[in-house]
Amino acid sequence: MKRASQETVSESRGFTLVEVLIALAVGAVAFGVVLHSVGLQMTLVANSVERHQMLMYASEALETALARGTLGEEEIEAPIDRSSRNSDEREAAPAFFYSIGAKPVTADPRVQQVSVTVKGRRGQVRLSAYRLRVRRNSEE
Amino acid sequence: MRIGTRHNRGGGFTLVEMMLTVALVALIYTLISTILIQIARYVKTGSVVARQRVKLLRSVEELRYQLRSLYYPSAQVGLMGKRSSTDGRDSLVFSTTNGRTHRGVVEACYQIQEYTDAEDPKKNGLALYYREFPFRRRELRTLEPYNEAAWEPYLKNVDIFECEYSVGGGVWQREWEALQPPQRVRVRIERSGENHDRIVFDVTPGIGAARW
Repeated sequence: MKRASQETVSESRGFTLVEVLIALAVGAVAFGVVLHSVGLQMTLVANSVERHQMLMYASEALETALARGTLGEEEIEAPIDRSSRNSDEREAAPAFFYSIGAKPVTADPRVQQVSVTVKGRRGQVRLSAYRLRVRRNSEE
Repeated sequence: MRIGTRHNRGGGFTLVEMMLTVALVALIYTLISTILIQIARYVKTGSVVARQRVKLLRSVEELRYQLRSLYYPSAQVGLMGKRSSTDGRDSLVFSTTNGRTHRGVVEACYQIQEYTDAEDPKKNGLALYYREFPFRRRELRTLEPYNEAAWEPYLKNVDIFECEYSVGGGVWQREWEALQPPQRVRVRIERSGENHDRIVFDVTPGIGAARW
């Protein structure tokens, strides 16, 4: 009887240290999630133009490669230089590099997968397309 | 014994305890509210910048689409690019389709012009203007003002719009007035200011409107 009354007294006194710590931890986790999503959104906004630029470079490189049609299996790497005459002091070093290569698909060796990787300062973008290589004069 | 003495003492907090609690709560509240206000400010500016960038990227895609679906009937000028006396203020005229409405062939014109905001003079500056005519006449119009289509601000706060034209890809020239359209057009759009955005892209005019 005495024990029970003591327990109720100790319960009504306040939170224990463990409870307070758990509450703090839960609050910190929730706050951290909010901060993380805000930071993620801001990084996405900050990188959006550069990412779009890289996508455009990749699509241009892919288009030219597919139109030219001469592409070996080895990867070609080159800087992307788009400096014009009156702005060359602004673009001292090329900021973007691209590499392009084609490799045959395992299921059908006539089909080639042409893939372009554009590397920028803050990430990279990879695009690929498939093309069918058929000989025009069927000698084989 | 200790429990008993504490229990006997109870019935309320002392003044020091109350002051300590109030001070602590105020401190924590100030800290958290400062952080939250700062975050809200960041998110606000971030969303404004994001909206501007979405507009920029969408317009760039639209221009790219229009250049890719260039329309040039033979024996007519299909594309005309001129530069003004100031660098970065080129103008581009070509006949193409409108990517948003797809209503036949139009003559699209892009040019950098001064932008004046009637309500807020702080927003004055340069803007990329756009206008289009339905394709009726046989020749491209010059850049003089016409009544039938007014220039409309298309992308605000864009101060550099440069185009270069090339036949083989090696030599680039800043103006184009030949009968045949060039094989490559390089467009550079820049927006100065606190967030310095810039986009450069090459287009093969008339290659088709399909995008990757």
